[in-house]
Amino acid sequence: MLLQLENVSKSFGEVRALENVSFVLNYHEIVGLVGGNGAGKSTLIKILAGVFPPDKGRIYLEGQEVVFRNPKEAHNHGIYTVHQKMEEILAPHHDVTANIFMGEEVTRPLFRSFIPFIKVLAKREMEKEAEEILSRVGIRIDSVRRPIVSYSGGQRQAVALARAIRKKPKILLLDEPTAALGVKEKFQVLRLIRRLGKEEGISIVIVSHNLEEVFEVVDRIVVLRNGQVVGECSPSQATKERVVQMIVGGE
Amino acid sequence: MKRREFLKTVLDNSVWVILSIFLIFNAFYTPRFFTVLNLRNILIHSSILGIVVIGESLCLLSGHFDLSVESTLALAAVVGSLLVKNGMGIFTSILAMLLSGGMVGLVNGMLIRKVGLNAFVATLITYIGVRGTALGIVEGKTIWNLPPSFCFLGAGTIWLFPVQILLLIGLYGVFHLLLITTRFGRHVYLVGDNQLAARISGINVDRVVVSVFVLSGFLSAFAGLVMAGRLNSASPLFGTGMVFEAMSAAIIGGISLRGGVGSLPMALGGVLLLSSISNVLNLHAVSPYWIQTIRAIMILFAVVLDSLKRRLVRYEE
Ligand SMILES: Nc1ncnc2c1ncn2[C@@H]1O[C@H](COP(=O)(O)OP(=O)(O)O)[C@@H](O)[C@H]1O
Ligand SMILES: [Mg+2]
Repeated sequence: MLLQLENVSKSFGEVRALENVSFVLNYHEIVGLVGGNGAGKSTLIKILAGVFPPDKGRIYLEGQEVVFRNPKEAHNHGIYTVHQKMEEILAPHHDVTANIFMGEEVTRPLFRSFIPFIKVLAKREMEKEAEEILSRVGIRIDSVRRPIVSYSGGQRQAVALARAIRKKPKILLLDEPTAALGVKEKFQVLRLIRRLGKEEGISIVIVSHNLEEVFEVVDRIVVLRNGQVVGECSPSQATKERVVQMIVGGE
Repeated sequence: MKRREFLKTVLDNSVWVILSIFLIFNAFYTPRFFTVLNLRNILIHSSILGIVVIGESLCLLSGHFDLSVESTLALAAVVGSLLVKNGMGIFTSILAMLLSGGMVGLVNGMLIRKVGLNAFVATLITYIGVRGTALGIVEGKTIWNLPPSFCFLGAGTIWLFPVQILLLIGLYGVFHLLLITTRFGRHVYLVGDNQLAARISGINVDRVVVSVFVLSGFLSAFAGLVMAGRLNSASPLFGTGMVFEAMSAAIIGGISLRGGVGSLPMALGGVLLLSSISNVLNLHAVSPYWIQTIRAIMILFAVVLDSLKRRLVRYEE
């Protein structure tokens, strides 16, 4: 087991977003997390990403208990995330490069020889790397120097994805990564996700409303309802109807 | 497409365009305006406000603002002068006054990030409290006759150049480079542009915001040193009302009140424009009361330009 959540609960005031959730992610596995609106999917992702701590419960990474006090500590463990909402991801008036490197800017010594501790941003290197990663993601961005506000929803999502895969994560958490994409872009991103999972061996949790695409890329489906895990199945053995039934509840 | 880029460049540099037009116009129509002596005067008048505007701009860029700058300026002037008058060395006195400014900034930063007050309330508290402290320390009295070496930064010259002007240029240069070439500077902008995204991306927002307020405090204190030197005195009423001038200058220079957008050289343009306008009104013997009205119109104009600029770069669905 790569990652394990044990009896995790989280409330926001009166709202119980997660209740005693246990969840497992294996090595080289792509898990689809599905559920209706407000089921607690984003909350689960944010706990794993270190955005906020759980009220209760434990997280184990490769058998060791871990506590993420902030997103940086999750990054240090190789966990990178694309969050659902744009306002949680991007700085709208900064250019594409600045967004891809947000919080992890590359620096170089200003005067290499005599005062090596004065460091400045390595803008050229970052731009070059940004272009490379974006071409890997496969969505056209005409200039890495233009601000995010000048790009469409799909392109913004591509930037967020580029940031998350830049450091070759151990675990990639994707919260509705295809929601803002057009048909062609969606196809490309799904292909990328499968390649990251299968060829590069990155373990991925993907949240999606689109069962079509979930069935296409994931190895296992976990269903959340009202903050609880209500079911789990493999796409090769279950039908979409069965999963829909688990999502909405009832018989 | 090309026209749009051009328009954007003009709007991005609007304060310099307006300043140039203003200078050229007045070179012809205002007697005694375009002389070396008068231009030097404008620069000298810009220096104290200009230094305060650097700190204010740092706060604005990070998406906050600092009302306490003018009180910090007065406190530092009073503290430094009192110490130097009581036989403390020049160097230690200056150090102590800078530290007093840094302390105010630290309190602001802590009130905002640790206690959770918003910037308006936090710096309103220090705005009032620090002015009160400055008044209290000297019981409202002005301290006169400071040692010449203490006044060097505010009144001295190096060769032909007033030290204040050199300081103004030097500080803008240093802080502009800090903002655009270092990680810290990039983080200031990012926190201002989207604090939530910055935090989620792993940026230590607490550290950035507290640092910004501490720097603002240091700079205000430094402006207090320059002012005490220029006037060869220190009054606890120094800089009264200056915070509004500082904010006006930054906004006229194109620094967004919403944070994350703008640059220090543009804010300097705002300072120079405001000083030039006061200067021209002076030369025309217009009553200084009207300066406020004109400043209000300029701010309105700057805010309209800002929203125009935003519309130009936005993605069109
Ligand atoms: N920051 C928050 N503050 C208050 N309530 C929240 C917050 N985040 C999520 N919630 C609530 O928690 C529940 C689960 O939300 P979420 O995890 O976003 O659901 P999902 O992503 O499955 O649609 C919802 O009822 C939502 O309103
Ligand atoms: Mg969600």
